[in-house]
Amino acid sequence: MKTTECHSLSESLTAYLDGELEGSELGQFEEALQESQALREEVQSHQTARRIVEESLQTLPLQETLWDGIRAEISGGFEKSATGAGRQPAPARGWLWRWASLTAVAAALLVAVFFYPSFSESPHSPMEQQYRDFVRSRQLQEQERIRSRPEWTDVEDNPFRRTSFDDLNDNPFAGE
Amino acid sequence: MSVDGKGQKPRKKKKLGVSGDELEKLVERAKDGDVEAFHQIYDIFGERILNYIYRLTSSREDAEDLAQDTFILAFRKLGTLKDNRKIQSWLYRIAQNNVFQKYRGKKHYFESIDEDEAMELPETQRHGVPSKSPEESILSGELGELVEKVISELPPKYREVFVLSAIQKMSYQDISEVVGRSLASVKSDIHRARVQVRDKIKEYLGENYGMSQSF
Repeated sequence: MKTTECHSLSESLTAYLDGELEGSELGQFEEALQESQALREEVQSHQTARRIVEESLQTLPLQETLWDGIRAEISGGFEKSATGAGRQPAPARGWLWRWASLTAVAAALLVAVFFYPSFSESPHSPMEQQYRDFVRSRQLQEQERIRSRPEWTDVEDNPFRRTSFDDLNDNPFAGE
Repeated sequence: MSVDGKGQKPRKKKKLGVSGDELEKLVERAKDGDVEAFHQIYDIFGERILNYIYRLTSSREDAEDLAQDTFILAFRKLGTLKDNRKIQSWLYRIAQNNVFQKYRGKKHYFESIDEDEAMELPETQRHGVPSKSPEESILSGELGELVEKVISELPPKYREVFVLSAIQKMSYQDISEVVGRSLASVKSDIHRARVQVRDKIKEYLGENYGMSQSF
């Protein structure tokens, strides 16, 4: 048997044991198998190794916590924990903190609303009251002054009457 | 056809326990945001993905962490899966990418062991013929440790295809889709990996390897 044929058969041997040979390839290999004692021994040797691999390796079981972590992530409810394998969301602490902070804000608002009227109606200090009285009296004086001002019923007597420049020659600004 | 006269036939692919149509419907529902449907997909593939990652990383903690990340990412990106029938290879690809990203630049995973070096066994295993039979070794866990070590020492490109083929029982076509290499390349790499693993086990068991053909 040539080296290339031998290598090809050797590769086919693995494919044969893996159930990957079909049609003419399978026929050729089975023919070679019947003719060659060495090939049969090689097949047996590989089968032994396969059995040892399959029987000696242990399979890791799937832990339920693994799905819990996946569900928490894909449901989008919890933040990712960085603790690695078997990661679990931390629901209790997160919700507790969230509720506690909301309650604190609500309580602060209630206190503010309850005490606001009494703050706004608190009596002024004597100095502030004195100032307010002073301002008020000045306002009243000003109102009285405006009320007692003479009315300019006669346009001619009105000192604020606008002078008209009917005659352009009298216009002191003409020619400037 | 029987090879060894004991009715041993080429292996059959691992079944998913759900029909193709049912699986497609589950994927469609999950695409619409149905968490319960996605839970069923997880039930079908969860253990396989976990163990695939475990064989690549040799770390239970990393495997659980990365398996969780794989399914979270899969749910979020499910809308980008064009062919619902490809869900299996798609999940494996995500898992593999997650492993690559986590171990990027890390000697432990990526530094390919020289093939000649990889063929060497520890001093104690090379010269001493174990007094236990393969059955006893399996029961005591020694052989399991050896097999795990042999797999973890395979160069990454052999390790991936070996695990997918020998442990996950995937077809060569599916493996080709997961690892993104040609069918011929996958076939050749699986064969090389199988030979390496066989030779190391044989070397460890010495004369007892022949005995193991009957158990």
